[in-house]
Amino acid sequence: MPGKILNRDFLQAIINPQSICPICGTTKSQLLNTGICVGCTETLIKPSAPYCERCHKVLATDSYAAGMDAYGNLICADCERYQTRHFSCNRSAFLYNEPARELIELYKYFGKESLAKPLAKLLAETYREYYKQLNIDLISSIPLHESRLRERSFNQAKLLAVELSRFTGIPYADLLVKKKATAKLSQGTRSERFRQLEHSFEFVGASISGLRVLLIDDIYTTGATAEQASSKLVSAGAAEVLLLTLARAYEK
Amino acid sequence: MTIFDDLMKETSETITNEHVAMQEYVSRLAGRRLLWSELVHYMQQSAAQEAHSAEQLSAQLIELVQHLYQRDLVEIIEAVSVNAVSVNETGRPRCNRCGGTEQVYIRECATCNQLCATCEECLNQGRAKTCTPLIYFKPDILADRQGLLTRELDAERLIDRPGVSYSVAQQAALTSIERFMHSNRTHFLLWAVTGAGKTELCYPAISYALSRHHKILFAAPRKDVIRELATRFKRDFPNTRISALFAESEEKWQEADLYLATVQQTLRFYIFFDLVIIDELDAYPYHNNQHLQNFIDRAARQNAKRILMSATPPREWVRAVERRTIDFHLLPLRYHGCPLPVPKTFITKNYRNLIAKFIRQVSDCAGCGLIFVPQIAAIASWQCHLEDWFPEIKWVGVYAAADKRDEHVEQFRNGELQFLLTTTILERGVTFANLHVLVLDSANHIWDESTLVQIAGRVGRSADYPSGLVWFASPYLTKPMKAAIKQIKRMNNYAGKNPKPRLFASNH
Repeated sequence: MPGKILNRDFLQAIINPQSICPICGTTKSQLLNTGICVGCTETLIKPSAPYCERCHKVLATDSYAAGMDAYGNLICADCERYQTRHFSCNRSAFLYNEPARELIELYKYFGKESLAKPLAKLLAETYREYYKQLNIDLISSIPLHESRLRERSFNQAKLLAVELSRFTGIPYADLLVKKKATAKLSQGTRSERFRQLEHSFEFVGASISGLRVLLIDDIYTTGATAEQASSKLVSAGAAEVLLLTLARAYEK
Repeated sequence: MTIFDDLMKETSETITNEHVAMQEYVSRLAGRRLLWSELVHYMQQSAAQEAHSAEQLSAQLIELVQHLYQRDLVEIIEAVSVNAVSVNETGRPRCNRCGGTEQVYIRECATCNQLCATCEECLNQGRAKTCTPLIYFKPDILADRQGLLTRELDAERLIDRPGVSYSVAQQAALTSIERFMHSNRTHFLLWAVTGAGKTELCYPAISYALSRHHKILFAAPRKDVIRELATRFKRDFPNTRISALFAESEEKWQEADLYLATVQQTLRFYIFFDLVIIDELDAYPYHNNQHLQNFIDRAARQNAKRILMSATPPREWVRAVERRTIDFHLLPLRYHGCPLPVPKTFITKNYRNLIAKFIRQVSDCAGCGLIFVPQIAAIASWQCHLEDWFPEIKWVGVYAAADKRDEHVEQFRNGELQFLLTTTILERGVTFANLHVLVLDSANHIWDESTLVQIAGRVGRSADYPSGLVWFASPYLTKPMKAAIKQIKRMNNYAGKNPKPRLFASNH
């Protein structure tokens, strides 16, 4: 009897292969290369041109760009105002719209860790599109404070970074720790965010002088976290810090 | 240090006043099995604990649970087992909460600094991990039943109650349910056609169980159904404590004797119910889902009685009936005594003419029409076509995730909308007066036998309009279509062979 069942399932798998989409959980006959079904891929929107070359913010088509940087690239008003940043640019896999919010909530707060792989695949696609030619030496991630890490039991950015390092072959290293427990950043204005995060990271890795580091995080909102973290990396000697995030928040 | 280590620490036996207040809340959790996070969440919600911060609360709860544990009032196990005892035959770790083994992943965990298994099958109801305790509050049967004795009981035999009257066919079913309740059998299948009044038929069984101070679970597939049932039960059992459990319910933590719950919610109960009534056991969530069926098995006591109700029982239940392993009663007649409307098939590719004919016939008898389409995606395209073909009619489509879905259904019920395009969400559990049904593309694989029987069962449910149109339109005939028609005809046949019953019993 078990043989019979096995036989049937085996044949079924050959004749009519079915796979389960990790995001919506439904059985689909075909998944895309990223391991996500067509319907879910459709809901996640890539930030499309014209976008800010620095922070990947989608610029409104009518009021085109706020300015240009030294190389003649479009940049947004925020990036023009804060020209001296420690990271050179950010790229996001998709916009932080409602489906993306639900997806990241499921991954981060509900703790569905098995989403790390498909999400890292999306990051890998983004990496290939923008960063592949840049010869990145090291992947690292934004750390969590110890108390938050214990509560959540995993660092969402680190899991993504480790998976990404597997896909791309670039080594991963923990370079930073967070020593100041900050309140959840989901709310609060820009200046509040910057003030809160000041001096909250510390560099702990070995020497990274002259290396080009790719930092991974889940959501890019104002760049406050990224700025603080990358300033530590730069002062530790990194040649350049690039940012790769899952979602790019935007004003609705 | 995990909560586990905290819980297993030796402590003093003293109990403060604050603990006593908390104990009151905890005593309401009898019969439930909760994760630590759920317990903390519950205590945060309960009014007396508002003043405390989460850390203080957690610390106090630890002391309290220790206290209960020393008195053998709670059982504490890990939420996901990786040790040899509960690892099943496949050798995979198993979630003690939902019983799942398929989606349990072992990963590094920063909470306990070890490798630790997480269950992702019941993840949306809280995260079960090896380092999270699962706490079972043993039902204190004696105290509970003494408390019940002082409360007033609803009439034991509802047959004699004014307002609820049963037809002769229904009374025959009642007799067999009663026989089952007094026997030592555990399973009973009530195979009743759509619109036979199944819910009312459970009343005597429920009041019998209530009189014996049993805990009762009434499980239904959808939360809309639970909502509707809750108002009905609260009207008919005014002296019984009833709690309706679904995801957004406010009564989730109430203690009760009769629980109305969606299957997912039964996950939080363990060895608790003496009578389990499962409505529409062939419907979407449980159908082919052994996992959800296990939830109910875990929530029930060992010798619990189960009444399974369905209009279209799955094959394994029919087989069990044939083998005489479960008791069963067939109720082929609707409560108003009229036969089921038999579906008519139209083998056509020209849907436009057919829909025109349908609209004409429905309008002639001033009825309303539901048009079923196979997929959500098809709703939009059909809406375009129909607006193009019949611009004088307002076309609206509803599906599970549609915004204004409830509003549109309500409008349809009031008669503001004459026609409604829908997917399978309106296939069961809904009643509209003077309804006619058209199934477009009924050859699609989405329509199986039970779905088609259920759709046909929407028609003619009220005594004022006992018949109506049921049309299946498709380019060719399929097995489920034939089987559905055959089943409906067989039921009508069976009902016709019995001596013509009077509509209602004499006490009406």
